[in-house]
Amino acid sequence: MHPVIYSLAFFVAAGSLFAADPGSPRGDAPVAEDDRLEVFAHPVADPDMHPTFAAVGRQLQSHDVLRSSFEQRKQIKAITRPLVSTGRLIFTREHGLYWHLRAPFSTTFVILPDGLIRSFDGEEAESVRTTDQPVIRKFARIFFDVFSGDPTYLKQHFSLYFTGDVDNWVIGLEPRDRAVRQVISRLLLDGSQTVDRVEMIETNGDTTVITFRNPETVAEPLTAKERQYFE
Amino acid sequence: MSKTGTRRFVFWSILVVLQFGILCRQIDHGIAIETNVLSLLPATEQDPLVEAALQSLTAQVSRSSIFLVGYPDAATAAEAAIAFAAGLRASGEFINIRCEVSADTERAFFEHYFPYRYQFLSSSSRALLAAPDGGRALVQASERSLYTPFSAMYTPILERDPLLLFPAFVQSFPRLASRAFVSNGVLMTEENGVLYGMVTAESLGSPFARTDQHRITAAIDGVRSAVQATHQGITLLESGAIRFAKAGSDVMQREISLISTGSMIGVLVLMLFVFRSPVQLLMGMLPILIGCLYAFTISCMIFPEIHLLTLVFGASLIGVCIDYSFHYLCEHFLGSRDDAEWTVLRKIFSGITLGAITSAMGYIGFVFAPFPGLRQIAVFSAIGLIGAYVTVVFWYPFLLRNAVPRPSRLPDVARRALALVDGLRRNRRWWILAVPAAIFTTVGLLRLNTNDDIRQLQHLPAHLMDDERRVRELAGRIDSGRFFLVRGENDEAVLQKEEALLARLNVLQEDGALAVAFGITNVAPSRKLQQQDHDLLRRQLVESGALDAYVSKLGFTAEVAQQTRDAIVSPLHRHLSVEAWLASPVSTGLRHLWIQRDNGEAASLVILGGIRDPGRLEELESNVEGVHYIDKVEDISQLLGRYRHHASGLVAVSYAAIFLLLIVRYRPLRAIAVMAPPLVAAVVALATSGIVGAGLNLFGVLALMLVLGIGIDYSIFFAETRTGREITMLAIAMSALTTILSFGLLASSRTPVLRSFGMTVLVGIALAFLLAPLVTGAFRADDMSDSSNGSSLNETG
Repeated sequence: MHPVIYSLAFFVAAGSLFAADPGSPRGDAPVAEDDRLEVFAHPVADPDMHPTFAAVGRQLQSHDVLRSSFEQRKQIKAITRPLVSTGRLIFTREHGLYWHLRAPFSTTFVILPDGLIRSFDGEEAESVRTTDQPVIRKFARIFFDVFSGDPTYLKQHFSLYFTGDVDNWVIGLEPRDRAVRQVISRLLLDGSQTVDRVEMIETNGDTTVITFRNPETVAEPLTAKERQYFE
Repeated sequence: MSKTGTRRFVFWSILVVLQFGILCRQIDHGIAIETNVLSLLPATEQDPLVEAALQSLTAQVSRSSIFLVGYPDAATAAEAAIAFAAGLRASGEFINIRCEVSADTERAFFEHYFPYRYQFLSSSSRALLAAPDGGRALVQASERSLYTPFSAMYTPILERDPLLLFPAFVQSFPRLASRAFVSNGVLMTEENGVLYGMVTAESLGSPFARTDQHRITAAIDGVRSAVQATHQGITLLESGAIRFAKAGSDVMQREISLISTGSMIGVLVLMLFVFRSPVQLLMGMLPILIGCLYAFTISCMIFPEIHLLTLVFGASLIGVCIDYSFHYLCEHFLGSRDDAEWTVLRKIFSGITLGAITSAMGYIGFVFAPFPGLRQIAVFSAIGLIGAYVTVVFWYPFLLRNAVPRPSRLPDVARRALALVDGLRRNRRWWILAVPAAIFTTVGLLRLNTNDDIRQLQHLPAHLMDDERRVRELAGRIDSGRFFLVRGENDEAVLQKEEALLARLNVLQEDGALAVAFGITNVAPSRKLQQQDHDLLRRQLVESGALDAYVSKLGFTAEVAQQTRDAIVSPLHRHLSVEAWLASPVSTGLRHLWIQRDNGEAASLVILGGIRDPGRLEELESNVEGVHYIDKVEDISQLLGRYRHHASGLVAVSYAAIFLLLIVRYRPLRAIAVMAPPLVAAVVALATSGIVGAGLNLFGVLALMLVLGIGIDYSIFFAETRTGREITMLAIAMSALTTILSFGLLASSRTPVLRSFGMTVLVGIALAFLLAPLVTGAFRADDMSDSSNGSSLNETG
């Protein structure tokens, strides 16, 4: 058998070669405020045994369809200004996550529940590219899990942390998979009825903050056009 | 007892003792038993480079095994796979055990390739840049990547690779297991919700050496049960040559014991029945044992290794070796003893001598086939026969000097049988039987087809084939028998030609004619290609201004922008080389793709997988210069076909040579009569293979040679008998029974080729035995003087 296949692993692991000490994110990056990071002092061994966490999980899972606008702000070491993008998302537990980027250009990603990604350039679903790169699928799957807020899924891929109450909480996630951990050191989710903000702290100190605006959790069925993206 | 008799006995005794000493020394040094069917075959290629390539690939592939450790949950599957790998490592039977994807593996890959990101592009980047506005397309794709929700995968190396060429390189890096991914630090594949951790290993010992085989499979079984005990409910799949090799040898070994014990028991029962004395039993065993002693020790002296198949054939020799003893013992104990001391030997000497010569000639024919395996079988068998013959001639008169004949009713039975045969011959009504026989033969011969498939030489158990197929589906495995060999004047020429070939193969892949094509240039490209890639980047990114636009739009730091520009603009002074690749850990398990011979000649292999249209691959051989397409199975099958033709010619020559020998001894018509039974028997045996639909192959032709070599003995014995035909009849009946038993047991073999071989000999010998008294009975003992009695021949039709 051939080791060529191992190179796949590198795709993720390249990060580790450049990584700064994972414990000390760089000072100039907009790091989560200290009180949020404090969540990592409160591990949750079993989400079912943690009444508040379990309640938040139920709350997050109570809606089948979530629509929201978002702003993604990435702070990368090699680039002097943050990369800001905005768009709109639709999350359905059944079909997947529809992630439509409006600015700086129009691109759509659809993450299916099994981690398969489809991407479309522009609004039209004409140029479909399906990626089944296993590593990307793994990332996509994590992304999906974070949105679903399902504690059983989360427990599989992450060590869990929790502080706050049902109306104002912070969930901390630490990836279990070595390959993922080499790129992402921690994830912070905070919110109330829904997730308001996701912060990803990368191993080399880069950060990505996604803020959700005007979330709608009405169980409004997908429009014909929206449905088309998932099919 | 005459002095000569004693002297002969002592002489042969000394030789036997010496030979036994040689056997003891050989056993002491260890006897190498080879089981690889391919080692029986001659080299397919005259070209040493091609042969070297074939050997290097076969050695690599035959020693490697893939294990899949399955469980519905990734963490458990990974843990069990790691435990499995650790078990293999601890057994000491394996090297190059791979399971965990360690940080070292990744670092080695990165360190080897990352410095060359501006001269070894991914196929996707290359395709993008080849378009007219390729530079802009590439930076646009990079920009989009940075805005994706998953950009965290790329950003860690952004400072040193702002164009994200390296992630693209890794992403389209050719791999043989397209469905594999890394999870929990282990390479995995998934099917129906079960995750399989992959473990690959190469055995230290040869999977075809009998002793290594036992050790290796015992080690694997040990690890399997240990891991199954600690990880309940896991599924284990395995693929590799070792299991097939072991299964094949086990079957052969079982068959050797079956054939040899079966034949021995047959011989013992028959002798007890006829002679009713344990002393005669021992007498009967002696020639067999000494024949085998000589066959084995001399073969060991001539050949470096004894093949298991030789021993399977050898086991069937028991039934032939005993023939000389039967003749002697029958004559001695049951014949009329009114003559002087040496009568017995003198009576049968000419018969068994001619018989031994013709039988040995039947085998010696194989020696001239340039076929290592056949030569060994021939030498083994011929020496065994001669050993048994000499033992009868040199030992029996001395050993049996005081043995008293014992009366028996059996000669009477034989006499009655002969009378029946004579009656049949005289009574023309029975000749009507010739009509269905002729129809059977004609139909059989018309239906006869050929089948030279090498796979008939090996018994392939269905459950192993299933496992193999499943692993192949899950892990993707290359075809070890079909590949391309690329050669050129120097390293660079080889690499350039291979690139040209791979470009053609990629087209075939897109057409679905082929699933995998992998060569060294996929991982270590030619200098020419590196320069082309570098020029392409300079033209499309720097000269077109696409790079500047990109760095300023996204806001890369001035330092990063400058470094990138410099790297693309400055001329290349370092290249990825084959030497560096060979020296790096990244080439582990792939080094056999490069063949460097002592005389400086180099070549590379392009390995293939999932071939659906072999015809289109063959076409490439003539379309791309310096490229050879090699299909081992096809080559060997063709070779077997060619040798089948040669052997057919050889059979004809043997028949002619034996016929000449008979003409010298008898007159022509009589020689024809002696020749007729085995000849007719051979034709009917051939027709039988046609009827049962066993395709004729080289081994079938050789079986015909044996039918002649052994079958002619029966008519010779009759022809040489002056008085007491009933004793000859009895001895021949015993010979034929044991021979039929031996080859009948061979016909029960699970190896297809042995089965058809055994069946052909079985049918042929049975018929030769039945026909011999019928035809040669025409020659009355008193006819000997004027034997050219044409009418008796006409009578036999």
